[in-house]
Amino acid sequence: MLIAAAALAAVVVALVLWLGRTRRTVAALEERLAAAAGDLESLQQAFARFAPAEVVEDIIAQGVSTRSEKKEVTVLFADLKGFTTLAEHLDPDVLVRILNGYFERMSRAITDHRGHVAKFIGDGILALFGALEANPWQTNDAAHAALAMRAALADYDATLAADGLPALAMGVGIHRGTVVAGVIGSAELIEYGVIGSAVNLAARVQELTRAHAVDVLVTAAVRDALDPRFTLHAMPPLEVKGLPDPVATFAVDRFDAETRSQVPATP
Amino acid sequence: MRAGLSRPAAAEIVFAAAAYAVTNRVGTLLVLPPEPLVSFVASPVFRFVRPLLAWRMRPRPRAPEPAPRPDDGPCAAVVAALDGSPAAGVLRRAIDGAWASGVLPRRTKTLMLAVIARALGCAHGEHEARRFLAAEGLAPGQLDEILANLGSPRLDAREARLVPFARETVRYQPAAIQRRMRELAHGLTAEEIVEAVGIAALANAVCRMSVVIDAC
Repeated sequence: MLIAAAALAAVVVALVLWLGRTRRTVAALEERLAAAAGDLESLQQAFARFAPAEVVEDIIAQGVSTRSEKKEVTVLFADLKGFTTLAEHLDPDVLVRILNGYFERMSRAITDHRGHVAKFIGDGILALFGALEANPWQTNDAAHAALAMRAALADYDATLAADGLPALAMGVGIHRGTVVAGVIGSAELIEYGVIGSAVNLAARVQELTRAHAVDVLVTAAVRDALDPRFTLHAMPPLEVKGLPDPVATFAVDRFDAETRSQVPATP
Repeated sequence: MRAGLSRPAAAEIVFAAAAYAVTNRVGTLLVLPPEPLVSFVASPVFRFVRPLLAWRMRPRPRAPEPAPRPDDGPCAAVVAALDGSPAAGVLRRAIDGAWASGVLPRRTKTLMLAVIARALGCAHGEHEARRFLAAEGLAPGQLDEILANLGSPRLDAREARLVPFARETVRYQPAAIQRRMRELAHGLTAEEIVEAVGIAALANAVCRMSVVIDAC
C-alpha cells in the first residue's frame, strides 16, 4: 500500500515536473513565435517603403514577384543644375557631403508628401507618387513635394553659404501618365520600378527648367489634375528629344490655400 | 468565400477584422498606451479575475435582435450585408450614435467619410456621403472640388483641418500620424478630438468592410 502510494506520488511529482517544463517550453516557443511575427511585420513594413504591399507579400511567399501592372502615376524628376561643373572644383569628401545633405532633405520633402524615391541617378532624383498604393491626390502631392523641395533647398543653401560652400540650384519636372510597374532587374540586382514614356517625359520636362530659367515645371496633364489653388504660369512650348511635337509646360509659382476656385456656390 | 464560407459568415469575419481598424486607430491616434492592458493580462491578479470574466463572457441565449432595415440610416448596405449576425445591430448602433452626436456637425463628419471612402476606393461610401451632403445643400461640384483637392475656401475653419486629416487616417506610420494628431489637437476641444478620431476610425472600418463585401 505504502509502495503504491509512494509510486503514485512519484508519478504525480513527475507529471507536475513534466507539466511545468512543458509550460515553460510552450511559453518560450510563444515568445519566439511572437518575436518572429514581430520581425516579419517589421520586415514587411520596411519593404513596403520600396514596393507595394502585394509585391512584398509575393516576395515573402515565393521569393519572387512576377506581378506587373499598368498604373497611373505622377513622376517627379529632380536634378541639380551645374553640379557637374561644381563637382570638378570641390574636394571629393565635401562633394559627397553636400550631395548627401541635398538627397536627405529632398527625400524628406518627397516622403512627407507621400512620394516614394524610386532611385538616385547621379545627382538626379526619380520620385513616384501613386506607385506603391492607390493615391487619388497623387498630383497635388507631387506639386506640394516640389514646393517643399524648393523651400528645403533654400534652407540648405543658407547652411552651405554659412559654411562658405557654393549654393545649389535645382530643376524639377513633373508629369502624370500611365506606366508599367513591377519588379525589374536580374538575379544580382532587382528593384521595384516603373517603365514608360511618362518617366522619360518627366526627365525631359526637368531639362526644360534650364531653358525656361525656372525651378519647377509641370506638364498639361499635371496642370489639368492640379488643385486650382496652385498658381501656375504657362511657358512657351519647346521641342524635347524623342517627341515629335513641342511640349507645353507650366511653371509652379506657389500654393495659396485661400484662393477661391470657380465652382458654383449653389446646386 | 472561395474557401466555402457563406456570404454572412464571410461578412462577419470582415466585421471582426474591421473592428480592429477602429481600435487600432483609436489607440494610435489618441496615443493610448497598450502596456497597462498587456501587463494586467500577464499579472497574477488576472489569474483570479479571468474565471469571472470568462463566466461573464460565456455565450448566453439571447433574444435575436431585429435586423436593421436596409434604409435604416447611413451605410445601410454595409449593415445589411451582416443581416442575421448580431454584428449588424452593433454596427448600426455605432453608426447611428456617431452621426447623432452633436459635437461635430453631421456635414463635417460626412465630409470625413467621403474623403476616407475616396482614399479607399469605396464607391458605396462616397455615394452615401454625396447623397447626404447634397441634402445638406452642398452642390455636387463643390463636393467634387473638396474631394479633388482636400480643401476649399467653402469649408469652415474646423473642416479645413479635419478634411485633409481624414485622408491621413487611411494609411499611416504611427509616429507620423501621432505628430499630425498633436498638430490637429491645437484649437479643437477634447470632445471634438475624440469625436473626430471616432468618426475617422468608424469610417475607415465601414469603408473597408464595404470594399471587401462588394468584392465577395
